Amino acid sequence: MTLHFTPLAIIITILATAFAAFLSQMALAVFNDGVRPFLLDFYRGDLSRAQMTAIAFGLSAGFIFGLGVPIAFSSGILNPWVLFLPSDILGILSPKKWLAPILGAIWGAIVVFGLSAATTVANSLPVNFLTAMQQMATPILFLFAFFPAVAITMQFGRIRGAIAFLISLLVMLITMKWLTQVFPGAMALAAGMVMLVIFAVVEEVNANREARAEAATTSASNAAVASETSEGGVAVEAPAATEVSAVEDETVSIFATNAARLRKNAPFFIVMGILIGVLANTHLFAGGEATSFIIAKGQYANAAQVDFYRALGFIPLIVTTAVASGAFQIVGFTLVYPAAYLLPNPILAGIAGGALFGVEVLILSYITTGLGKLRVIRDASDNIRNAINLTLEVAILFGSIAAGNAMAGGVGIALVGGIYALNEALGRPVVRMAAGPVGVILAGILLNLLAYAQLFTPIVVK
Amino acid sequence: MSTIYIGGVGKSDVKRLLEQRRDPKLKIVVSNDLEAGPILKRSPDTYYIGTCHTGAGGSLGAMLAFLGRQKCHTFGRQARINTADVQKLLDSGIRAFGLSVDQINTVVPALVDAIQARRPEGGTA
Repeated sequence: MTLHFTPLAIIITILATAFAAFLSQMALAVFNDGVRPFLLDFYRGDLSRAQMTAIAFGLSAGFIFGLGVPIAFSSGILNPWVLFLPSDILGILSPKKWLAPILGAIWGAIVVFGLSAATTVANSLPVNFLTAMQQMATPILFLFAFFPAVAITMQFGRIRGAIAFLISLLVMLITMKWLTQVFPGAMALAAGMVMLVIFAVVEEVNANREARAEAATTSASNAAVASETSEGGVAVEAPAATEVSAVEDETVSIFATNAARLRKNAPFFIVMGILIGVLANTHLFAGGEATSFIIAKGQYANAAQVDFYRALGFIPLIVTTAVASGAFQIVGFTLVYPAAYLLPNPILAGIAGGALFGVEVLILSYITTGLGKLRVIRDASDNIRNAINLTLEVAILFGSIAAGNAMAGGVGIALVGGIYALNEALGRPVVRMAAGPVGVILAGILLNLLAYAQLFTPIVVK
Repeated sequence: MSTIYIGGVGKSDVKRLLEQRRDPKLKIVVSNDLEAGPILKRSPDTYYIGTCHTGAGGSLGAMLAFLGRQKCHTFGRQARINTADVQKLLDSGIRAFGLSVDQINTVVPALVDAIQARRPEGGTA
């Protein structure tokens, strides 16, 4: 496998990290969803730049080296963790506005040139672990088809979970038999998502109906209490009620101020959207762990489907943290990824990215109001994130062990699996999702050293 | 009685873990940041445990806006915590905790032990 960064890809990566750092310098946007809530205190002046930098570094460092770098190195595709977690930190630590884009640009250049140099070196080695990593796409694509069933089990219990699982399997088998030109995992995934949406909507409607019925009975009993107290004198309910509404008013006004701050800065986000759109359209950048390996194999339509469903798991989180902090997500609602993978050229992808980010920022406050009411949907989103993680952890571990097998047979399996188990025992310094790829990289380096020492005879990696 | 509101990605895992304690003195409510935020703000002896991948985004989320940064703490992806440290955090008035989903089994028990241990001293929370 070879990697060619076109001049456009190099320039757009550098521009994207530069502009991302510029946005985080002004506390307008960060990529790390965990850092975002703290930005409210930062731009209000309650947190110093040094404190904020420490927070951002603490929450991001593990994901840069424990997720972003290994996924980029093992797939040969850029990802947002390796590009934008550092740009968050570099922007936040820059005391001056002009410094942030310079530092961001330097980081972008380091990543692009570093990654292509590292891939070139890796490709020239006797044991080619990058080619071995091609084993990753199949388990990811097939296992991903079952994540909706896992999410359904988490939220709606074992019966509906089992039904969803069986239907997904059935769809997969039917597609394999009669729709041979379609990827079976994609159809099963779509079927699972449809079921998840149906279950969630039905549950939401029922929950609302119950809540309304309950409200009717409590208001009736409240009325009874009120009539009693009016006879007795003191109304006990009143102060509590005012307190509740005061707390809620305060929060609502914070949220409204934050949403207004975001709307006012919409032009900045539109520029970021254009950059991300063009970047994802180069097909040298992928938005997710799974899609890095799928894009690497050139399966853009599958990647778009995967990242579209993944977005459903992240939108409520992004919206809540954005409105609670007044800072946006560097990659928006992540809907730009699927659009940009599929669009035929960078110009259209840029336009789509800019338009998406603009719309997203404008509708933030409406979605927040909706999310406050739609509890089941919000839960579904959490479960989607959890289920994606669960299935991807299995798929990536399997893919990594298969890569180990491709490199060195049983020895490779032992090395990759052993490193994974070791990471678990050490309290998981590398996140599970990246532990397999880290195992493959380490095993690959070791096997190459052994090959040079004539202790291991390389086999042909297919 | 302490009430612990739980939310975020790993809420069902946290719930299962806490239910295994079979502790009558512990009330667990599955919730989320938007719902639990106002409740924590007005009721003493209530706590929030949120989980996500960073330990701060989906975990704390809007909590920082509701309660203020001084009342929130994230363990991040930290794997080992001890009850004494948590005790210190609770003494400083922290009520909402965020942690990474993959550290639930190591962090949550120590955290809840510390919350439970505070009970005899009474409502300083």
